[in-house]
Amino acid sequence: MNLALLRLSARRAAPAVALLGVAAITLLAAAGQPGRAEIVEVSPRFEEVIVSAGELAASTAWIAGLVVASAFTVLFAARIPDRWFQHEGDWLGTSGASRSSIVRAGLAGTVAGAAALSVIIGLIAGSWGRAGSAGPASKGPLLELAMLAGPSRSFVLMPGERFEQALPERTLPPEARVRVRVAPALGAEGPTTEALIESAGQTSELKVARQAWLEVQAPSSGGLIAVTNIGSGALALMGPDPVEVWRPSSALGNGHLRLGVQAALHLAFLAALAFGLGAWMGPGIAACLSLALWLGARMALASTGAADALPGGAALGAAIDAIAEGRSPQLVRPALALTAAGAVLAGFALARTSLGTWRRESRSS
Amino acid sequence: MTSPAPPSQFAVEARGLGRVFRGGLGWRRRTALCGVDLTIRGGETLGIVGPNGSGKSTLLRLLSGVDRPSTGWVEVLGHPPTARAVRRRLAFLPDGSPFPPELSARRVLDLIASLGGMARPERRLRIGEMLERVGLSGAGEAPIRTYSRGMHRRFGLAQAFLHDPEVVLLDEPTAGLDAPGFAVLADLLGAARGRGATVVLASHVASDLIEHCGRLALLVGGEVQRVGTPDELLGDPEVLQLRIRGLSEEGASALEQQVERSGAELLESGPTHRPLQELYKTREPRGGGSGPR
Repeated sequence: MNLALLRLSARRAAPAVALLGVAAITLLAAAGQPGRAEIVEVSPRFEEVIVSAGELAASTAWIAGLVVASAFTVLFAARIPDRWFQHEGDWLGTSGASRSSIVRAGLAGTVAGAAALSVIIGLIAGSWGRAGSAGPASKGPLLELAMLAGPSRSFVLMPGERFEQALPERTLPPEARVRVRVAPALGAEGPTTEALIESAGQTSELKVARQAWLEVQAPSSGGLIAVTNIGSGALALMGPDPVEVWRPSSALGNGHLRLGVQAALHLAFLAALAFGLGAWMGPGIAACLSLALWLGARMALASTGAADALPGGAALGAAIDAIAEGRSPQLVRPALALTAAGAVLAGFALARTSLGTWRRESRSS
Repeated sequence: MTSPAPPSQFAVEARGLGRVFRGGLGWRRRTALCGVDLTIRGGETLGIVGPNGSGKSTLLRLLSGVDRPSTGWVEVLGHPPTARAVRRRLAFLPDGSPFPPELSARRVLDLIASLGGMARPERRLRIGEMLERVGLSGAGEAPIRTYSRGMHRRFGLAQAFLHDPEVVLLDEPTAGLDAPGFAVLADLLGAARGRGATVVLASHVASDLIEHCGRLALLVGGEVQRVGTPDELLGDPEVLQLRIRGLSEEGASALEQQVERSGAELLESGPTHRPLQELYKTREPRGGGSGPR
C-alpha cells in the first residue's frame, strides 16, 4: 500500500478545519457543563445513584464531538474520490500503481483520518472524566457491565409487592455491584414511591420520583436479588433486562479508550460509505446519502437484536451512557468491528468499480 | 465499443479513436473526438495543433489511458495504455495544475515516484536533480498552491520527466512558461530525444512546437485534418524567409533593390529580435543604461 497516498488521504479526511472544529465543539460542550463542581452534601440514600457532573460533561462532550465529527467525516471523505475524478486522475491514472492499490491507499487514509477525529474527542472528553470529577461515582472502583440478568419485559410492583431475580452462578469480586432499573408508575396512591433492594445481606433504599437505578453490592456467587415496593405508589421495573451486574474494570483511560474505539468504528463506517458513494456522485449528495443510510439502518435495527452490531448504534449509546455514569463501556463486540469492516469493503468495491475511467462521464474539456 | 487491436509496430498507434461525452441524464451528447487515426514511430516527436476545444486534451487523455475511448482503440508500446507495464514507461503532463495544492513540490514528486514504484534512495536523488533542472530547487518545500502559473508548468514538466519515460505526452507544455522556462522545456525534450523517447506535444500555439517536432498533426473539431512536417503544414511556398548576420546598411539596401528588380515583393525587413533569455542574462541597470551593474 502506498503510504504517501494514504497520508494525503488521511490529511484530506481530517483537515485542520475539521480537527479544530471538532476540538472546539468538544471543548465547548465539556466546558458548558458544571464539570468540576463540588457536591458538598448528598443524602446517603441518593449517593449511589447520583451521577457526577464531571462524567456528565465528558459524555456531553463525546456526543457533541461525534455529531460534528460525523458531519465533517462524510463531507471530507466524499470529496476525496471527487477530486480524483475532477482532475487528479490525470496523474494518478498514469502512475505505475494499479487502480485497486490507489483506491486501497485512498480509502485506508480516509478511514484513518476519520478515526483520528475520535482521538481528538477522546483526549478532550477524557480529561473531563473521573479524574476531575467530584461525584460519588468516581470514588469507588471503575466498573463495567458483567451481565444482564432480568426478565425480558417491564412490569409493575404495587405497594408491598416483592420481585426476586436469581443471578447465574458466577464468581464476582467484592466490589461488584448489582442494580435494577426502576421508575414510578400510575395505578396506586401516590405519584412517587420508595423501593428497597436486597442482595447478599446488603440493602439500599431509594425514593423513586423518576427513572432511576436501585443499586447494591452484588453477591459474590449467584444468589437472589430482591426488590420490594415499600412506598405508597406503584413501582415499574423497566425491561427488558432491568437487572444488571457490574464488575470492577481495568479499562484504560477510565473507559474512554473503549468508547474511543467505538467512536472510531462509527466514523470509519461513515467515512467508508461516503468515500464509496463519492466515487459515483457529487460529494454533497454522497455525504447526505451516507448519513441517511446510517440513520435509516439505525432506525430499522433499533428494535432488533442486530442494533448492537451497527457502528454508531445502540452499543455506542450504551457506551456513552456508561461514561456519563462514571463507568466503563464494555469491550467492543466483534460484530461491531465486522460491520465496520464490511462497510470498508463496500466502500472499496464502490470506488473501485467506478474507476473504469478517471473522468466522470459528464465532465469533459 | 473498443475492438481488439492487432500487434503494433509503432510506439503509439490509434485507430478510429472517438470520444463522446454524455451530459444531463445521458441524453445530451457531445462529440469531442471522431475517427482519429494516428501513428507515431519510436523516437519521433509529434506536435498536435488545433484551436481551443478541438479535442487535443481529450486525445492525450485517451493516449495516456486516463480516459476510455467511445470508439476505436489505442496502443502504446504495443499494449493498451492502461496496462501496468506501459504506465511505468509513460508520462503525461496534463493541462492546468491537477496536483495536490496542499503538498510541497518535493512531496508530490515523492508521491508520484513512489506510485510508479521508484525506490526511496533513487527518489530522493532524482527529485533533487529534477527540481534543480526545472529551476524549482529553491521552491521545492513550498506548497504547490503558492506557485505561479509558470512554476506550475515547470513542476508539471518535472513530474513528467522524473522517471525517464519512453513515451511522453505533454498537453500545453508552454502555457505560462517564461523564456527560461522554454529553455528548460527544450533541455528536457532534447534529453528525451537523446535517449530515444517518443514525444507527443499538444498546443494551440503552433509556433511553440515547431522547433521540437518532426511532424505536426492538425486537429480541428475532433478530427485530424492533416499530418505532415512543419514545413508541409505551415510553410508558404510563395514567401521566402532569409536570416542574415553581419550585413551592412549598404548591403541591405542593395539586397532590397535586387529583390525589387527581380519582380518579387519584399514583405518585411529589419533586425530580428534576440531571445528574451539572452536579455535576462545581460543584467542592465534600472535606469536603462548600457553598462553592467
